[in-house]
Amino acid sequence: MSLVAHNISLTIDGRALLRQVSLDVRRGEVLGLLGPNGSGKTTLLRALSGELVPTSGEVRLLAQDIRDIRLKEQARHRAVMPQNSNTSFGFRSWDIVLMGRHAHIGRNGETMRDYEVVHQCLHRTDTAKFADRIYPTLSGGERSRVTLARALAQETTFLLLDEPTASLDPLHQRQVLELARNLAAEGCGVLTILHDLNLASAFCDRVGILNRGELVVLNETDKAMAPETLEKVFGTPFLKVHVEGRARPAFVMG
Amino acid sequence: MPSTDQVGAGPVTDRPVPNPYTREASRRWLILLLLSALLVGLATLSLTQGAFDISVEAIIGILADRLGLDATFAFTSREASVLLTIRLPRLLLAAAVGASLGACGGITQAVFRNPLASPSVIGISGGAAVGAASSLVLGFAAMSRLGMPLSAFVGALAATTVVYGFARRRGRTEVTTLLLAGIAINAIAGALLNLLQALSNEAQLQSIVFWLMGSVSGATWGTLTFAVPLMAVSMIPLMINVRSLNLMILGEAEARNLGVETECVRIVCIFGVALATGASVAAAGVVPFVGLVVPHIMRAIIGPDNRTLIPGSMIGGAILVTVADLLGRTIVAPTQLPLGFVTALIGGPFFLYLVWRMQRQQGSLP
Repeated sequence: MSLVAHNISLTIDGRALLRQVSLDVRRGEVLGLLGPNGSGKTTLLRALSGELVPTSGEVRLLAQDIRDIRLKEQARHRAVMPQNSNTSFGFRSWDIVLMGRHAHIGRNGETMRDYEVVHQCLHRTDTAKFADRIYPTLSGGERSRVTLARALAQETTFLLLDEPTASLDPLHQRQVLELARNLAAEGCGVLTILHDLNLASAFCDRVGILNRGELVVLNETDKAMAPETLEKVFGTPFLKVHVEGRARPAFVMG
Repeated sequence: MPSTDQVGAGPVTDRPVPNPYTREASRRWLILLLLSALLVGLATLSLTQGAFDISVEAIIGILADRLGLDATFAFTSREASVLLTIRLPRLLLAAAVGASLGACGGITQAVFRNPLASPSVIGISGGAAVGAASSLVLGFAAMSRLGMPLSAFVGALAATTVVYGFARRRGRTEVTTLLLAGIAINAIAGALLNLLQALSNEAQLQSIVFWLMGSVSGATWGTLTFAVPLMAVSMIPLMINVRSLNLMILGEAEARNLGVETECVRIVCIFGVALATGASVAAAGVVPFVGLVVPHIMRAIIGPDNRTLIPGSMIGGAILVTVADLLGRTIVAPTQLPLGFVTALIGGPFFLYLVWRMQRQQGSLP
């Protein structure tokens, strides 16, 4: 079972947002997606989730075109953590995470198992302490972790995370990416958009780099994140630094 | 390692974790029950009040008699005739209009993700009024009993479609655009109503003025037999979708990713709201602010969960319109204040209060 983009291109209003991108999210790995602003990372994630339909090429989930799969079925196999989720209505964090169970809840309503899963997801994202709090009153970083808990509550094989660390403090950045690693170890396939090269280097098994809608490279983290590639794509030089006692290199702006 | 499909949540605890909010949920249903009792009480009070008082005993006697039961309470035939031909249909229509506007308000706010949305604010009622008025002037209303409510439905649907088309951009609804489009639709509706008034004869003119005011004073059993079934039909699919409605408040893209058939929910909701608003406008004219005020008050009492909020808004709407009608026909008796005037008097200041509170909380509108 896999989640695959086959040669997808996406053009909106005459602008090519994605050009012939092929990418597979594999079970058991954390795949990082890097690229400058406007390079098409979020667009690719939205195409992989089935939300945007590619102009050409196809996204395959469960070995079929994702468009042929009912939305509830999709929601049981892939979860999306968007950037900046919010609402004006005063639901509790707990209610928001329970919404992640929608695709599992049948006609008879919620079961004890749904509550167990919600409980567990709140703990894994370190959000149990504001389960009672009104979601729109949380800070951006807190909301973002609740949104992650909601995605986890879907109990899917594939997770698509759009900058999960964007508004988090360093400790929670680390916790979220460690969680992604644990999920991969449990058999999930995790795709995550990141802006921090060091986090990508430290936590990803493979890295794909997008530039102007094109997937420039997709390879094992060490091979993909060559300083020359990074300089070419981001337009600023980077030094690759080996830190003593660390397996993974760090990147410093040169 | 967990099975193929059960990854994500991690190891599940040995002991089942119950819903920590079960008690709160049952408390909400209890409140709905109490509100229903309040509605029955207020309805009874409303039936007793009027040009002359009818005692509660007499009301019970009359109703029991109609149902073929043994009437143990005495009543006069004048009381029976006033109750059955004037007060009861009027009360039932007020309650039905309030219930459907309350529910429509809650649904509109969820679908547009906007606590300021309601059928009258975003122009759905205005569209319905234009539809109803044009059915009179153009003569559809005379052709069939359903002529007017269906024209009102078409008007409401057209208004909703335009507003929604403007407010939606790439799966997001823009709050400002929504309200601005609502202002535009209401202005167009107002202009068309003026035009229709200019084109109408004396009798038609009177009916159109009636719409603009909103009133249940002309209620008959005939009005009820077309309005209530239409309102009921429009609400059935909404009730089935009510859990999905909770997810719609996250925005369409997110609801879709969580497995909601957003396209379907949206269409069902828009049609339902247009039909219910159309029926209520055809029966009672434009009764503004009920759809705005009631869901807000109910949210403060029972929380935002649409599974209890929508039924709660039905009961709350019925209470508000029943009370507004009771006030309108008693405080300046023998003259009557139009129903729409009373609800606007309550709702207008409340709307300002909402805007003020949002400004204070967030520095701007959501």
